[in-house]
This record gives sequence, structure tokens and C-alpha cells, in this order.
Amino acid sequence: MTEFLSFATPGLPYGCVFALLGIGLVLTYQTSGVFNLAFGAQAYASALVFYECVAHGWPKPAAFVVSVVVLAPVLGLLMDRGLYRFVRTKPVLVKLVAALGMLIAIPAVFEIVFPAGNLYSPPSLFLSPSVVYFHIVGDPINGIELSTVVLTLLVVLLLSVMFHFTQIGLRMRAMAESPRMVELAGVDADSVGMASWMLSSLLAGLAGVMLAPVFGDLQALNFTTLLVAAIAAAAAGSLSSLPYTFLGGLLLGIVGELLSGYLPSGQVLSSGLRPGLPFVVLLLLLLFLPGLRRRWTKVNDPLAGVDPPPAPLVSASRDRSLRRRSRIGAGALVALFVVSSLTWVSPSWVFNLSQALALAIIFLSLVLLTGMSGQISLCQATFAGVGAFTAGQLAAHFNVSVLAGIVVAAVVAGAIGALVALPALRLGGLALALATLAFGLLADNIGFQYSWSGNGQSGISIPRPSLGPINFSDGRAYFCLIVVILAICILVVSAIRRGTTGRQLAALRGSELAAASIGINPTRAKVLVFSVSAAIAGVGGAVYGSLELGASANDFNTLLSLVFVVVVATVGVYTVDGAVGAGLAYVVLNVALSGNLTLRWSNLLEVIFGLGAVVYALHPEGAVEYVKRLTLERFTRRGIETEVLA
Amino acid sequence: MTTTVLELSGVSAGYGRFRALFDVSFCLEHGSVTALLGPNGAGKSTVARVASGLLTPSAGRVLVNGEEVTGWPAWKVVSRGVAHAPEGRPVFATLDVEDNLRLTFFRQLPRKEAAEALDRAYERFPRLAERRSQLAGTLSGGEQRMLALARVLAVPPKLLIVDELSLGLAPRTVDEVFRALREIRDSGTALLIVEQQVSRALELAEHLIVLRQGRITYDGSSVQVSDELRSELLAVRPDS
Ligand SMILES: Nc1ncnc2c1ncn2[C@@H]1O[C@H](COP(=O)(O)OP(=O)(O)OP(=O)(O)O)[C@@H](O)[C@H]1O
Ligand SMILES: [Mg+2]
Repeated sequence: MTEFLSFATPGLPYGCVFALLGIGLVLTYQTSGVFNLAFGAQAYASALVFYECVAHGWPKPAAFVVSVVVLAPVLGLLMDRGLYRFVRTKPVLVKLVAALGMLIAIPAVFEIVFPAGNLYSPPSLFLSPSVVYFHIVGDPINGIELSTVVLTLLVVLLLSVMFHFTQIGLRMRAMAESPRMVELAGVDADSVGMASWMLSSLLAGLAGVMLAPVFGDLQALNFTTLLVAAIAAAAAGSLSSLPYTFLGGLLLGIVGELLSGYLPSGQVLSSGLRPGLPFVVLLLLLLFLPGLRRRWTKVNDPLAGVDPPPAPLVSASRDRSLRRRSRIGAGALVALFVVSSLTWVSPSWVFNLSQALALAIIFLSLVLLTGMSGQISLCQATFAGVGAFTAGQLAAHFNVSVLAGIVVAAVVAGAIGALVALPALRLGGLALALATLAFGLLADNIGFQYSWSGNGQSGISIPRPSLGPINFSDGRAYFCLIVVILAICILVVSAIRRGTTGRQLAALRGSELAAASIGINPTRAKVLVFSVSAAIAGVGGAVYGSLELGASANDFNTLLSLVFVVVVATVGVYTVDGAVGAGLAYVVLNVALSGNLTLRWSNLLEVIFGLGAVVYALHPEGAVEYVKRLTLERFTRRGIETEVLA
Repeated sequence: MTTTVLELSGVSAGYGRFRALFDVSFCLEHGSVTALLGPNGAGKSTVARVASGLLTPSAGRVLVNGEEVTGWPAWKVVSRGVAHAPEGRPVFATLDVEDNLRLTFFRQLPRKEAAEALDRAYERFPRLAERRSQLAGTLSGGEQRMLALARVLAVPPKLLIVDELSLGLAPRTVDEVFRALREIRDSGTALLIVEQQVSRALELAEHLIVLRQGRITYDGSSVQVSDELRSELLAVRPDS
């Protein structure tokens, strides 16, 4: 018993940290309908500024005022004015991508301002970490632990009171359902939204400054990983109850410590289990907490009918002769592209273009998933990793040709995809997004660490394929192969779009209930698409790994998955050309920026991608469609003018 | 002080590229009851949305009590005395009944009076009192419409716009809704009633506006409506 308690007590501060972040998530979700994945990033920003201030010799209260009382709400204000107010009445997907963009951009911006590198032992806010205040069954409780627990309790109490017993709290809760209805009640929805973003940002800042010393060092990644624990805590509270979220977080922290206390140390499983635990908990909650289902499928805004429907895709509205002409044009462009990469383009650029097309295959999986079925996956890079490691391990241990390996990779990734999607899909888009995020982090921490899969940081080697006499170790030859594989994947995607499944998905996007009533099985269609999409990502990953001649767990981490979603959403998630454009844009930007930037400014790329999400929030059709629409409009207008003249 | 509570002049409005209203103009007098009728898709709900500021017209002007409110956000228009119970579900489904009422009452009134207004609302609608801590989304359709009407009781608005409030209700519940509307009219509120139930609406209204494909085709007294128009309206909207 004493042993049990002495293992459990250190879990309390961790638990409080999870709880505090979880409460922040619940608060923003309840008040703005945004599942704010950037919450951890906001916390990091305040923690970083606090650290810098203290390091420059400021007294702690002054540093606290600057980093939490001033900076955090200002950050919230900026995000609301610049981004979130435009997505207030938009669908869940758009809000999620907007938050993802912030998740990527905020740490990058702050690291450009404070180029610090590694920051160790962040200062604690109130009490000293080296003073032991009292003992619980022999366990010393130091200042950090004490202040974390006390502050968390205080915050939970204050927020619960505000949320349930004040006018502003009531207005914030009403906002989540329908900002327009709030306006009809005579309340300025804009300022309520602004206030709730400032409040939640303040909470993030407070959490960040408090959390930093618990980790020992200050890294943006720590805060992102924490997010899954926070999500699991929020899920325990059904995304609505603050007390249950608090309890969930607390339990999670304690169980995590118990596990690492009792499990043998020094193995992948025990070192990875603490970060992996939230995923397991989240999945269990999704499966066994029936109340979640009601909460997660957001109640429809009764005034959604005021919004005009999204404009049809350009390709759908184009007349036939124009479409034929543009098809010929596109064919010529592709031919020109391929021929020139085979002749005059330098080998290093052939390599870059190969990278772009391999990425385009991965991005294509998002076009299928997000563009066609309206779901979102935050672990496409993980599926790509599964594909790459499958092909590599098969080649290394069983002497399987990489080409055959790619096919197996597709099957394996597809199967894993189906397994991930099955439990979460019933709960709708948001649950799927969170489950995939948790799955990705689990793979980062455990799955890809074993030598039989990704072999951690050191990675594995993946040879180039060969086909009879043709060996693809030549860059140009492999480039041709990638073009062929990409074309096959494109054919698969268009076949699905035009076939029964595509029609079913289109019907499901209209109304799931109506579709089910005419005999469409929503889960089947969605799992199928998710699985195919994972398979395509797996193919892309295998192709990419083989291009690079090897891959490690780092090449396919979850942060990359998030970047992928943002990039594809920005460039165009509805069409095949969007995926190809995204691949090209990603590589070209990377080459242009990372080649000639110092470490400090290498963050610029992430800032650009993050801001891309802002563009997406305003124009969900994506850049490619936008340009097409403009061109089309100019075409048709000129057509009309010439008709009039004639 | 003008005599018109709402005036639309030359209003055009639409959704994206789609235009739903073409050059719509009309006036509503203080304390009057107006029925806005027309076939499905004529643009009745669009008129209601323009009037309450949910939708900004692409051309034309909207005046409330003679004050120009074109382009104002909805909450500001509402603060000038326009209440709008929108089509479909006119309440917050995720809030309980009491919170639905408090949201409006506590914005309009000081704390003490708001609490009294809450009591009065429950007295007027005992069914809501029984369900005060139930989520509004789980109320029956009729109870939801009652809740929507109860919200305007505390401070009678100058104009109440109700959009198909009787849709899908049993005849007896429809009676109740119209009784409540009559009470609200008697407290001095002007009504703009968008209705499926033509004869019900015409019983209450002294003024009739008919909308067809985004244009006004009749604007005048509802008493002297020609038999031709009346039977046409009834044919378009068969009464249940
Ligand atoms: N959000 C929207 N986007 C695009 N078009 C819309 C939208 N809402 C309404 N419309 C169109 O505007 C026109 C007028 O719609 P409105 O809802 O005002 O009609 P209504 O007279 O209220 O019809 P009903 O009796 O069916 O409620 C219709 O043709 C409708 O299709
Ligand atoms: Mg209508």
C-alpha cells in the first residue's frame, strides 16, 4: 500500500497539468465550438516569454504580468480578430484546420523572436522546487507540485462558477450552439467570442508557465504531446463537464505514474507507455462512454440556413468544350513536365521533383478522405511511415522486391487504417480527428521505436526497386516510376469518386440520416474510404522512403501529419490537382527557404504553412480552385464580350 | 416619432450569387398585425432575415422606427425593439429552458426585475415551468415554440417576426400559439407573421403582403382581399 501510494503521489501534479489543459479545451469548445488544438502552443508561448524575462533578470511577478496577464489575452485577441471570428459559423472541419494552423505557426513565430535553443530547468512561478513542504506517506511534496495542485483547484472552481452562474458564462455557452441565435437574443456575439478567446488564452498562458518546470526543459513538442492527455481528460468530461475533466486528468496522471512505477524500466514499452497511455484511455472512452456520442456530434446551428452554400467546384460548373480544352492543356503540361525532368533538369531537381510527387501521393490520400468524405485524419504521416517501414523490412528480412513491398505496404496501412477508424467513426468527424492524432503520437513514441518497425531515430534503410532488367536506382528512372504510381493512385481515387462509394459519400455529406434511410451504411462507406486513404498514404510513404533510400521514425512524425493537413487544405483539398500542387508547393518552399536560412529563420516555413490555414479558413476551396475560378471567370467574361461585339 | 415600425425600401437580397429578393418595399405600422404569405421559396424567410439584420441586403434600405439600420449587426437591430423567432428550431437546444429565458431577460432587465419576469413567464406557460431544467432541444416542437414566445414576454418588443411558428404542430397547439400571439399583440407589439396556415394568419392579421418569386404581388388590407386571391392563397397552401 505504501509502495502504491508512493508511486501514485508524484502523478498528482502531472494529473493537475492534464486537467488544466483539458479544462482549457472544454472551455474553448463550449464557448466557440473550436476544438482548440493550438492550446498547447499558446501555453508554450507564455512559458517561453516567462522564461526569457526571468533569464534577463526580471522579477518573477513582472515576468508573470508580461507573459500571462498581458501577452496571453493579447494573443487570444489577435487570433480571434484575425482568424476565429471568420470561422465562427463554419463547419467543424474548417475550425479544426484553423486551429491546426495556429498550432504550427505560434511556436514558430515565438522561436523566431526568441531564438534560444535548449532551455533547461524553467523557473517555477510561486514556490521553490527545491523546498519540500510536507510529506505524503514518505513522499516529499515540493513547491512546484504544491503550487500546481493548488492553482489547478482554484482555476477549476473559479471557472465552474463563472461558467454556470454568471451572465457572461451563459452567453459563452450559448455561443457554441449558434452565434446568430445569440445575436437574436440581443447580445453582441462578436464581443462574447472575443472575450472567451481572451479568457481561454489567459488560461493557456497560466497553464504554460505552471507546466514548464514540471518538464525540466522547455520545448514546443512537450506541449503538443501533452495535448493528447488533455484531450483524454476532456473526453472523460464528455467535452462539457469541468469537474469530470478535472477528475479524468488527475486519474490519467496517477495511472501513468503507477504504470511507470510497476513496469520494468528501460524498455520501449515502459518508456513509451506514459505518452501512449492517453491514447489507450481515449480509445476506451470513445468505445465505452455512450454519452460522448451525443456530445461530439455537434448540435446543428438552427440558423445555418442563412449561409449560402459553398460554390460548386470549378470543374463541375465548366461547360464541355472548355473542359475538353483544359484537359488537353493539362495533358500537354504533364507531358512537358515529365519530358523536361527527363532531359534538361538537373539531377538534384529531379530528386526534388520526385520528392514532390511522392508527397503528392500522400496528399492524394487526404484529397480522398477530406475532400470527398469530409473526414479528417491527423495521422497520414504515420500511415506513410507504416508503408515505408513495411517495404523496408520486407526487403531487408525476406528479400521481397520493393515493388511488391509497396503493394504489401498498401495492404498493411489499409488494414491498420480500418482498425483505427472503426471505433472512432461512429462518433463523427471530431472524434476521428482526435483518435488519429492520438494514434499518431502512440506510433511516434512506441510503434516506430522497435527495431522491427521504424527503429527509432536511427531508422532503417529502404532500397530502390528493380523490375527485371530495369533498375530504378537511377534518379530519372525512379522519377518515371513515381509518375506511374501517382497516376495509378489518381485513377483509383477518381474511380472511387465516380463509383458507388463516391455517390454514397456524396449522399452522406448531404444528410447522414437521410442516406441511412435509403439503405446506405454510413460506417461501411466511411471505413472503406478511410482504409483506402490509409493505403494510398502507405504507398506514398514507401515510395518516399525508397527515394530517400531509408527512413526513420522522425521522418514520419505526427507534427508532419498536421503540417500535411494544413498544406493540402491551403492548396486545395477537393481536387487531384490540389494534391499535386500541394506536393510541389511543399518541396519548392522547403528548398527555397531551408537551403539559405539560418536556424532562426528556418521557422519561417512553419509560419507560412500556419498562415496558409488562415487563408483556408477564409477560402475553404483552396488556392488551386481559387485561381481556376478567377481564370474561368475571365474566360467566360471575355467570351460574353466577344459575343456582344459580334 | 414615425408611425412605421419597419420599413423596407427597394430591398434586394440573396445568398452568395443567388438573388432571392428583388426590389421589395413595404411599411409596417406600429401595433399592426401583418401576414406575409406566398408559396415555398418565395423569399418570406429572407424578408424576415433582412428585417432582423441576419442578412444584409445588397441594395435598398431597412428602417426601424424611422432609423436606418441597413447593414447593422443583428444584435443592434434587436436592441432597437425587433424580435425574430426564426424558422425551424427557434431556441438553444443545448441550454436548459431556464437558461434560454435568462439569456434574454437578464440582458434586457436589471437582476431583480428579470427574476420577476422569469416567474411571470412560468406562470403564463406552466408547461415550461415543469421543464425548467430540461434541455430545450429535448422539448416537443410545440413547447419549443412556446419557449420562443415566452422569451419576448418580459419586455414586449416593438415588432415581433415569427417565421412558420405553427409548422408541424397539432391543431390544438396551433390554437395555443395563436392565443399567445394575440396576447403579445394586445401588449402593443406589432407582428409580422409568416405562415403556412393561411386562414389562421388572415384571422389575426389586418394587413396582408403576398410574395412571389422574390417580388411583392399584393400589399394591402387583408379584409378586402378578392376571393380570387384568397382562393389562390388557399390553393397554394392547403390548410390542415
Ligand atoms: N442559405 C441559402 N443559400 C442559397 N439559397 C437560399 C438559402 N436560403 C434560401 N435560399 C433560396 O432563397 C429563396 C427564398 O428562400 P426563403 O427561405 O426565403 O423562402 P420561403 O418563402 O421562406 O420558403 P418556405 O415557405 O419554404 O420557408 C429560395 O429559392 C431558396 O432556395
Ligand atoms: Mg421560410
